[in-house]
Amino acid sequence: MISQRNNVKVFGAGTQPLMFAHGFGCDQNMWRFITPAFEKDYKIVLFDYVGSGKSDARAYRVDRYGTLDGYAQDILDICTELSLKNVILVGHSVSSVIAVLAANREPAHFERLILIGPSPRYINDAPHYIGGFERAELDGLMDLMDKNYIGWANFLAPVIMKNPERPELTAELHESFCSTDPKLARKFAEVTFFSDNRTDLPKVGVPSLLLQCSDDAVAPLPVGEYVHRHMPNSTLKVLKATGHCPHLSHPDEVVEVLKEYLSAEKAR
Amino acid sequence: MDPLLNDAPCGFFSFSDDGLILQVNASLLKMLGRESCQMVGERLDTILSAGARIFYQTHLFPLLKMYNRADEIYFSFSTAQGEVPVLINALRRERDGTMVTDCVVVPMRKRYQYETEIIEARKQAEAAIKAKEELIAVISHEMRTPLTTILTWARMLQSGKLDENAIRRANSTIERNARSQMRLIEDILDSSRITAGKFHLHKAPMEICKVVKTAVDDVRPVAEEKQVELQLHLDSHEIEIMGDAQRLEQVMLNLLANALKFTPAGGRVTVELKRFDAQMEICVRDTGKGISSEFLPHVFESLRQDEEGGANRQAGLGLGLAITRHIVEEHGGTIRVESEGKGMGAAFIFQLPCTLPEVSAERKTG
Repeated sequence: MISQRNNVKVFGAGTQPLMFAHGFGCDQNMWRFITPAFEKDYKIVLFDYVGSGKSDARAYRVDRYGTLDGYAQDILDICTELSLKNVILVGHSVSSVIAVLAANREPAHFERLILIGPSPRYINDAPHYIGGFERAELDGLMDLMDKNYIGWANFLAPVIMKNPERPELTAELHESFCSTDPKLARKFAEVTFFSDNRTDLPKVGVPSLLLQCSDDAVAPLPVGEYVHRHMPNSTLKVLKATGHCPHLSHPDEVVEVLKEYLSAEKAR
Repeated sequence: MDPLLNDAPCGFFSFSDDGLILQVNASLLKMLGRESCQMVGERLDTILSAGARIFYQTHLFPLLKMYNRADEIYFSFSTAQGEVPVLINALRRERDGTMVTDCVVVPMRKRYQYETEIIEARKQAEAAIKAKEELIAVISHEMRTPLTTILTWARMLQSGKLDENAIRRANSTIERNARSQMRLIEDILDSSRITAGKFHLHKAPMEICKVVKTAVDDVRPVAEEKQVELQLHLDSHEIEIMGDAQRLEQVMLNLLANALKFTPAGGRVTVELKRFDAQMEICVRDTGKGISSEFLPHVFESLRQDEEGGANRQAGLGLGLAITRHIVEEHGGTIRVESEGKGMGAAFIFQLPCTLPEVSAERKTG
């Protein structure tokens, strides 16, 4: 069952699917401030990639998830199992690229893409492409990932602490933590930050909205502009929000921009 | 700031949801080698290493935003003197009407190094376990092949229906396959002795030329059967060295067997022995399939074979050359491999010190 494998959650009163794909380092929880605004009009689809959140880590295969294509297949598997059509796919960070890969492979599922903080390549490729990072700097991130394995349980400890009255939940979380191998997160980091997907951008046929934060340390503005230049049918919107997770830091602005875009597109 | 907090034995700072630094204690300023005016009002990004900037955006910030706290997070600050590894605890809460995150910071230089070593050791251990598992799979495969042959012939012998010729053939096949299994087991035992540091040589004054000749004679039938020309050139006929004759013969047999295995009919294997002042050099050269430049640096590693895919795997465990190198090095010698690439043949060259004076300087050719 794909729904169990990817911990798929479907809710909302609408019929058109609005699917949210989380970024590296998070799970579907990160959409919690956005989804309430769309529940009335859309069928909301949330999920965790294999290896993240409460997905079934046993489904992890090195050959499949050794490239971003494996993650794109997760999205397509869900679309197929739930027979989703006209999907509006919202992808954050690495999920922007994953959404592009999924839409290129099976465009029929998707009506449009909304990409938050997209970057097709994080490593600089001087002189023509500035991704924002040198390889050695990303090695520093991998080192931090390794180090935080040791304290990995702490990433979930706060969730457990929030529900002290439900010890069974604590146990379940411990269990789900144990089955989600932190090594998979490390591998996801490698695949995310060392991939180069620039050549996939011009192939996109599905129209898209690109949301770029005004001061994003992970995906700087020139990268957003690069994506816009190379992706046909794309609209670039620079948010007032700063940082890399506007849907967490500035959910009101994100909701407003999304609503504006979706209603304008509907009116066409 | 409260003076107690200001010079507490840990760093302390606060920042807003927008990532602006609001206050910093003196201990943290000292740790980072900065002035207060260089930090307060600046963005958090400016004091983080590049890796930590991403880690903040992808892990720490979402955690704080969703759960309001994060404990024991490894982090890395950027200073003029390089990166400072730290451990932080962070708590996000409302103060004076806005959300503020307070962080305590403990520098982790020594422990960071220590944990780096632990992580490295763990990675190595995991790789070793994986290698062991692969070894078991390869061993099982390698042992089964001769065993299947032995069983087949043993059953035929038991049937009593074989004529004298067939019985002779059965016996010699059984013996050959049992020997091949014996060699495999010896290699495995040698390999585990090397790993355990229990691989000991029994050195005594010995004649290296004799060992080389014996080994070449031993493999001559194989060479003839494969129609590979086998040549021996001895620069000097009597070189006495301190060594373990049995182990050095094993070296020669390993190198010769390897050369013959990878050289097709019509090819040539040449053994050359040369004497320099205090060194002697033996070269086993073949005109066989050669070694790719990618694989060349890994030739002497255990369990490695130059594979183009499972189907092309050559029989053997890939232990022979690792054992060979160990024996040569235990004699105070060195071994290297040369190959121009695929299809260009290969040469294994090892040098041993001659610790004893040469008995006869008479020069002959072999």
